[in-house]
Amino acid sequence: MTITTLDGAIAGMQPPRPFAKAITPTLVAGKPQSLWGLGGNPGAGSWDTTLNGVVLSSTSAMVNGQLYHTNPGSGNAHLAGLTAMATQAGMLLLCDRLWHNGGFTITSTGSQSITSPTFPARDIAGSTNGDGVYLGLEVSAACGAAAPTITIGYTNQAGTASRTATNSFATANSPAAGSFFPIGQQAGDTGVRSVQSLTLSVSWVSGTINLVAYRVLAAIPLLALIPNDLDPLTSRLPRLYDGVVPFLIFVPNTTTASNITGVYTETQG
Amino acid sequence: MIGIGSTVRVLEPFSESFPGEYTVVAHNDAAGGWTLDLDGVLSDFDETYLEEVAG
Repeated sequence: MTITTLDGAIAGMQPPRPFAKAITPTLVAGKPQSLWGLGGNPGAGSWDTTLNGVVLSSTSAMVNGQLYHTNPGSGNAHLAGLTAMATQAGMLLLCDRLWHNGGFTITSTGSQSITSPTFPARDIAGSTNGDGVYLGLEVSAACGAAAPTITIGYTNQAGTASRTATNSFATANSPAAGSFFPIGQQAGDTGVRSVQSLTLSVSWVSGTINLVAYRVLAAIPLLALIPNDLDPLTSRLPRLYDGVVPFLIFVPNTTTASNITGVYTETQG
Repeated sequence: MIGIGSTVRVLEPFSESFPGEYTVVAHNDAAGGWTLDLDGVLSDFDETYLEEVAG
């Protein structure tokens, strides 16, 4: 039986799951910072080290770094609540992490080929088409003193290959671990089905970068030290497809470090 | 020969996103590339991705 009413959502409430992370590096105002690699609660996630990468799913076992989720015994899972507070203002994005990779040569300016496996059936419609699935470049070890432009070759949600897009926000010299650069879309595209290449316009000198395929599930605006809350109505009850790997990205208002705490709640049924 | 002050075009695969002509504003010695002013945003490019526009 699927959840179709508010009473159904309330009846299916699962225990709240807390999270707490201390973002230690210097942030960049308005630039997203992934909490994936940070210790705390949940513990730190890790990255793959191959260009082709790995798909991520919590169906068999939860992935290190993800917020707590187990698939419902029957019916569907939905986000029912997200409460958060940060020590500085910003926006907290709750995302599903579908795939990530690694193994890039950080000093290479050539095209680095990727053959991504089929992404999990967790796009906006629960399919593998990729609608609503986006790419981000996540820094897992601080990079060197350069500000490359990143070009990604990908196949879009309609299956059209040879699409290209670059980072939405400019990179900067020496980005800290956790820096997250969203990749844009070629005009007309609404998602990514697979990834074929990454090209840096210049050597990034040193460090480690990873690509992530993700889908935004919810966003919660935060004022400094003032909690905010999404409930079943304000969160719009987004569906959490089986195998979802929820993780957090924080878009800060200032450059100072920030503690982020909160509670994540699902309803299932 | 490209240098600070040169006007350049960006070549594929970056030309899709940056189809215009841009000014070289600095050399990034650490990365071995040129810093372009992309309409107010600075980004570094290896010389292989740049084509100088004849003055």
